[in-house]
Amino acid sequence: MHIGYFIGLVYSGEKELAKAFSSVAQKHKVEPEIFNICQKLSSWSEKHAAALLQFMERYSGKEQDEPEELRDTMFSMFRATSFGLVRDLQNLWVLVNEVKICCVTLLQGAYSLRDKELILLVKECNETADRQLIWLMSQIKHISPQVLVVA
Amino acid sequence: MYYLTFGMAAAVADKGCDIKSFIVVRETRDSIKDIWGDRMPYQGNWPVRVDVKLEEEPDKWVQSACVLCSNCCGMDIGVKDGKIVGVRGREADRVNHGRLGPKGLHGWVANHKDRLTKPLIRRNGKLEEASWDEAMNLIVQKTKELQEKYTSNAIGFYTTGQLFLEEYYTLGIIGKAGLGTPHMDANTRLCTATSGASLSQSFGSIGSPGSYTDFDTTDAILHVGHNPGSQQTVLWMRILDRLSGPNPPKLVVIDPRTTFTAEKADVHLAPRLGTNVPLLNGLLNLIIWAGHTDAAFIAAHTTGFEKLKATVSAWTPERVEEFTGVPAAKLVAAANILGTTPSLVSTALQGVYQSMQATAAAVQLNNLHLIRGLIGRSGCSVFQMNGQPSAQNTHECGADGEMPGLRNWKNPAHVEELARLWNVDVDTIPHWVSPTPAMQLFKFAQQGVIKMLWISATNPAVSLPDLLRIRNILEKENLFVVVQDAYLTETAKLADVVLPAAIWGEKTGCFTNADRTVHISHKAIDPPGEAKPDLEIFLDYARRMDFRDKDGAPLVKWSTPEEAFEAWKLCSKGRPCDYSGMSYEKLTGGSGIQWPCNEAYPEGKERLYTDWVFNTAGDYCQSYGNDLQTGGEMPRERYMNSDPKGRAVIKAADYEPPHEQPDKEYPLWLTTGRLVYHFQTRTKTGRSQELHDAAPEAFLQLSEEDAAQYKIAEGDLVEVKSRRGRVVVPAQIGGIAPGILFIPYHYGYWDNPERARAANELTLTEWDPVSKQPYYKYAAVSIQKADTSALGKLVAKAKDEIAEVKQEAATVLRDKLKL
Repeated sequence: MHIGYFIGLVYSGEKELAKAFSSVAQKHKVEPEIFNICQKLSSWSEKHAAALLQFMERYSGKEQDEPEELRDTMFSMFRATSFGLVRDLQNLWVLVNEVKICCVTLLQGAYSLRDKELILLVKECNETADRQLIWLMSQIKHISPQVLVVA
Repeated sequence: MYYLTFGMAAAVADKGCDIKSFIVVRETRDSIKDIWGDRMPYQGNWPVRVDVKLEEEPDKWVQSACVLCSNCCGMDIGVKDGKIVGVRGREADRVNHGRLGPKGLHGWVANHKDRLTKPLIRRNGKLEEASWDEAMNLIVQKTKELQEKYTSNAIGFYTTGQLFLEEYYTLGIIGKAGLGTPHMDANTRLCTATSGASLSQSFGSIGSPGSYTDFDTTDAILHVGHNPGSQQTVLWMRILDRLSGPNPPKLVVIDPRTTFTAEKADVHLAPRLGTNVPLLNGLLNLIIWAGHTDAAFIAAHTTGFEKLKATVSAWTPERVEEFTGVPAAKLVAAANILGTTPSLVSTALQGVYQSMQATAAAVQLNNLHLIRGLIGRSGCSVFQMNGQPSAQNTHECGADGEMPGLRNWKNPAHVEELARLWNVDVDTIPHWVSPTPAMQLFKFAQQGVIKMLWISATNPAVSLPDLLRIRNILEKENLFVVVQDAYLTETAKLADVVLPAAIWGEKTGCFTNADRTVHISHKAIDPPGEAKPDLEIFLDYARRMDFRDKDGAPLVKWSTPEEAFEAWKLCSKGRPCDYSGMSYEKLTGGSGIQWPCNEAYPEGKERLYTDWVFNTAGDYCQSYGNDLQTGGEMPRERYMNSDPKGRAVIKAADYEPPHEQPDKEYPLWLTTGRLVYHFQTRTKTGRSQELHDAAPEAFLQLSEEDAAQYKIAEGDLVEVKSRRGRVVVPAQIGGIAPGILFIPYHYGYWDNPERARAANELTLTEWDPVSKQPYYKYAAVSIQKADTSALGKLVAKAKDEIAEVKQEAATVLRDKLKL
């Protein structure tokens, strides 16, 4: 049974995602909308990580290193320019999708275990990932024409 | 001098006397002292009262409507010897029944004061007179250079809510199909964007569901962050007349200040700044809890109610009191009225739109009507008001970046429809990206990725938040700024090219008010000097740019306002804002007409959604909606998968605290707003002596408690500081809760460059995630009594410098004063 592993994956994923959104917010502080919404999205992931803790205990979950490694790889190189912003938002997109696919996987296990509380929480994590993706998509589409052809 | 009312004049005329020979009808009432005039209590039809203000007896009257708020009262312009000599209300008009407010009665004098009469070009740092050819050729040359090097994405337009629809539609086609730039917005982003956003979230498209006639019959009125007593004085006259009639409606007002409107309320709720959502959620919760909802209506005509119920259930009166400061008993009293009234008219304006969670809060007002089924019938409407006379048209015609005709950017069929209408390739139109909102437009300019900004009929150097930043952007070396205006505004002074424009009264065109009433305004006089109508300026640009359609014919196929109107009729046909049944002839002679006006409704349609089918169907709606918390745009597939197909969409929102909160350094809240005697940055109203004298100066309104604590007396100069800047304004004590301060935003520097006084020196660069409307209604500030001796020295020094560098250097000077 690998349920603990996957809970750990979602838990660590959400934690790293919270860090990533927060660091993008700080880096692009001069962009008020990016700053405010990234902080908000960071707090959502943080809340999920906290809520997952009880299930970490219930299923002997373990924190996983992969999400942190992924974040480190993705956010090491870009500066606080509009070009850097597009790349950072793209990388957030990858990170959210990683969390999302882990949620989808975990949800299959939660259903099989008939753990209603876990089902509810993972569903919420999954829906939140969708909302994070929708926002990222809107921003990327909005900013990229300027960066690609004018900047 | 004779002062006679029209009634008296008519009586004299009946006796067969020649009025002109001995009577000059000057003014039917003193609207400065008595803002709303005498009461005419009524039940049924609102009685007529014709308000008149004349300097001289006119030779002729020309039909128009007022452009000094979003009410758009029908008005005739009196003309003598080619000059405007006065105005009178049009008694046949459905909006005002003859009445006019103080701005309408006095503002027209600005047509004849301080006008720009020649184009100006900046040479060696100074604006110098130039010919139209020189100015337009320079703009065209710059456009082509930028297009060549960076594509049209380097070019942005920032227009207004005060031109005519013919001008907006022309600008829309130039921007979208001529240049193909996504960067078009207007100052309507500052006043009306949330109105549009909230209506399209709930009902699928913009347009007020009801009509002003609903005020005649309703049993209750709710104003949220809207002070019609000051902002829409003629609408307020209608309400006052109802209140003094035999069956007065109940009045509930939500406003942190004790405004003219709040003074008349049965229940006045004064929430803390930034707490509209908890307050409205609290009201919705009480109404649901008491079982005052219309379950059948909810089931048949809406989606999303359960989520709303779950969200608002946490907002008990006690919790609402804790967050908003509104006593629980008062909230219950308001909920009793709103929950039991058989009909209700609600309105919202800047107290909602320019405050935290703007769209989320405005949507809760729509929800109130939806859960009680109070929509689509007499006496029932929600008015998401507009902030300017033609803001509605800016949006409808696509001059603010929206697709003309309330079409949906994300719906390929809608974009193809436009491409066919304009006979251009579909990919000429920038449909791959949502339109750039104003604050982003200036952000792009700041970053240097917009390199030309064409500003028409608006004054961002006073009206945008965080003015030091805005001035710095407009002064940037690598930003080519075109300003098209009637006056040398604070913004025009920073331009590279200034184009002198004709204004209201000097050109013909149509515009639409907050209850969808369309008026025509005929040309009454010639513009001064070489000033030209905005339509002619845009058409001239299109000709010089040689914009062509797919077959090589000119892209813009019209050259007169009436031809532009006919083109707009084609564009709007079949859409919610259908103008196809109107014509210049039909609009001339009687009252304004509401849209939709077409074969089915040849005289216009009074109310929308009378069959409770809303404009939300996936193939018809104007927008697929947004995430209210993030602003994320709902993808097409997602919307189509759960197509509401005509049901109204109920969207819930929970409270999110403001980002900037008072702290040790900046311990007080600042909110900003308007005064009854002025409009926008006073470019017109400030030039009327009467209006100027009635409200000559910015001020700081503060409570008795705060005045005592900071040892400030009435009239003392107070220095107000925020993280962005500072102003020094005289104190006015009372009428506001402790901890909250108010400064009117009208006052800039064109008539007084000596002291920092523009409220927007203090406001913050932040906006609603959905409507992208900036937050003007809260900022953390500190206050202290100004050191007048030090200030005196500064002012004296400033005066010397002004003498040297004259008006042009005013901005530089302000920077020296570190304002």
